[in-house]
Amino acid sequence: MEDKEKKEVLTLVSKIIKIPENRIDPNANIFYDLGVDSLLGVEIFAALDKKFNIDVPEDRLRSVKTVNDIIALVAEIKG
Amino acid sequence: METLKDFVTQNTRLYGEHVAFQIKREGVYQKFTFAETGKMVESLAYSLQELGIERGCRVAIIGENRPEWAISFLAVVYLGAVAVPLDVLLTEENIINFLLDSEAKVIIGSGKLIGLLEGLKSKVPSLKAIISMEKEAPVGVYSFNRVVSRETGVIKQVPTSEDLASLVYTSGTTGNPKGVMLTHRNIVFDVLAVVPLFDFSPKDNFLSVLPIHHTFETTAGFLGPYHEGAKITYAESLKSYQIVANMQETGVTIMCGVPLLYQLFYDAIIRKAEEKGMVAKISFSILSAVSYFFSQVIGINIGAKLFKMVHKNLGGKLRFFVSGGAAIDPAVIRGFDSFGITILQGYGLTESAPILTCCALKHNKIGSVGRVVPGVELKIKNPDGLGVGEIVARGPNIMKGYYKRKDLTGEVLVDGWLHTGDLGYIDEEGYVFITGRAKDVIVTGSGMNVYPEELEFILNRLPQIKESCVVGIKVKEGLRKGAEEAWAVIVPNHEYFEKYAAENGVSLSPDLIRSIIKEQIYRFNIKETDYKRIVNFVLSEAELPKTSTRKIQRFKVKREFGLL
Repeated sequence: MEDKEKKEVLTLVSKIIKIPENRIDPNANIFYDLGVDSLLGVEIFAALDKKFNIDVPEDRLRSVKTVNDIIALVAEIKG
Repeated sequence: METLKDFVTQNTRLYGEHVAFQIKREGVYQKFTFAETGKMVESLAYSLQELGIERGCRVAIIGENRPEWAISFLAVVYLGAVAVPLDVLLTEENIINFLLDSEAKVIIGSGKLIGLLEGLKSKVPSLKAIISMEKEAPVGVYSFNRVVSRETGVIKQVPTSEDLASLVYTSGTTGNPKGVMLTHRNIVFDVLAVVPLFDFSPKDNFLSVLPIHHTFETTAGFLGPYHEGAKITYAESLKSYQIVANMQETGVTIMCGVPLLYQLFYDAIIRKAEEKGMVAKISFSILSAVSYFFSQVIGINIGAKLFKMVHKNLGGKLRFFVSGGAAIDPAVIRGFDSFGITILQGYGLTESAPILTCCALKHNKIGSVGRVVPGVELKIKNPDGLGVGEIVARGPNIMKGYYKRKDLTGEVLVDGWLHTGDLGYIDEEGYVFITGRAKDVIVTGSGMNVYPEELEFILNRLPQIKESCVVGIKVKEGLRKGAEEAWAVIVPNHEYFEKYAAENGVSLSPDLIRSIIKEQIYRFNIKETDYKRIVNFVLSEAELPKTSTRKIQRFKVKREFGLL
């Protein structure tokens, strides 16, 4: 995945959880450190769907722990 | 109408060809009429009987919101057996824990979980059979098609109103399970009490979004509309754009949600206006202000006329939203009100099946959780000078008790009065306002209850931790601002760390202790259901403040560590 797209994922997560980008560590646990719960997680996936024109299955939420995991997941789905 | 079985027999007769449930599958809405549903319920009930399920036996149900879940629940109660609804997000360990406690004989699960459920047979001795909610199932698992399409014989048992209908676990995922015993009478009463407040009718199309195992959704989002012959549409997913698409495609009239969901909707509407440029943004603000003025000062709500596009985007048929599970920000209710969309707030506990109070279309006071439902007594115990005290309630919807936990039952049920642990007051017009909690339960933005004792129980078993205290902290920023999250105050076990330092040849420092405990909490969070996580922690060198009976004083801990 290109750096530009990685940055876009970070921006998108930041917008949804309303925490400034510069305060989000891509390796931080989104549940533990950023306060994301399952409903917000689904909302992040919904925003990714729209942004990258993909369909991120909700049940993949269980396997995602960090922003970097989200980036990897998007890369995997985009092929 | 005495039992939930009566719902099925009555509705099959009254609303035969009306659609009871629908869900979008492979691009098409699959519909289940009341007549079809009735037949499937009878057939599944008979199949369960053939599998050895008798009156009082427990049958667990686990799966996402879908018609098969609803049919399974109805079939279990039709037979006089007890439904044990389980959260689809539970870990395997948690599922085992609840199955062991409930001694469930059969589990009905969604296809996605069948692999996991098959592995449980050897770990849960009571479990005799697994039924999949899918058309096809692997060898050794009954497919849904098989159990709902067989010829029905005589169903020998009939439930009575005092029989248990549902056993709902509210906490105790890792120890000391707490199952709320709800009888047919409890649930039937609550459904019939709430239905008139919402004005459900067979013309309504109810969107089911909240997890269906949650008693709020079971009563208000499933059994209520089902009883009134309304249609229930199961949301394709929880993604807000798909919820909106389902609303547009099917003309949804009512939806129950949690505050966070409405906040997401509200933010999306505002964002859309802002994206259209400065002129649109200013016009939007002016229209909102005008609408609010008309609504509050003149008493006429013109929001629906001013914000036609918002209504159109939500399908054009929406009558109102219902919010429950946690306190909703009044600003969001007012925001929707200015668009001409009513959000009704209610209040209750699983222990009260669950609704105790609810705003109604004709009696809605923003900020309150409504008036007590007819037939239930509600009062404020030991009110202070401002009338604030613990909310206690008595009525036909109050649970029978906690399963196998007479000790806990005696703590909350005193002379038939349910002690809610919530603090509030009742105004001169009878509206109830919640001001806080007497108990220590933490309610997250999604309406999930987190019990500090439960998390402490696990933390205190870690060798690195001498003692801990979990408290709820209000989120100060981000989308969940105002919601609560769990923080822990931890006293490290210095004996452990000294030994660790000696064995590993490292010098002990506060940073080392912190990093090791952080790692342990990280592991704990991964293992637990996602809402049961410790979001942050602080270390304490001193023993935590306690009462004379050695109980930790949470309030003092919060104050001493600046966590108020």
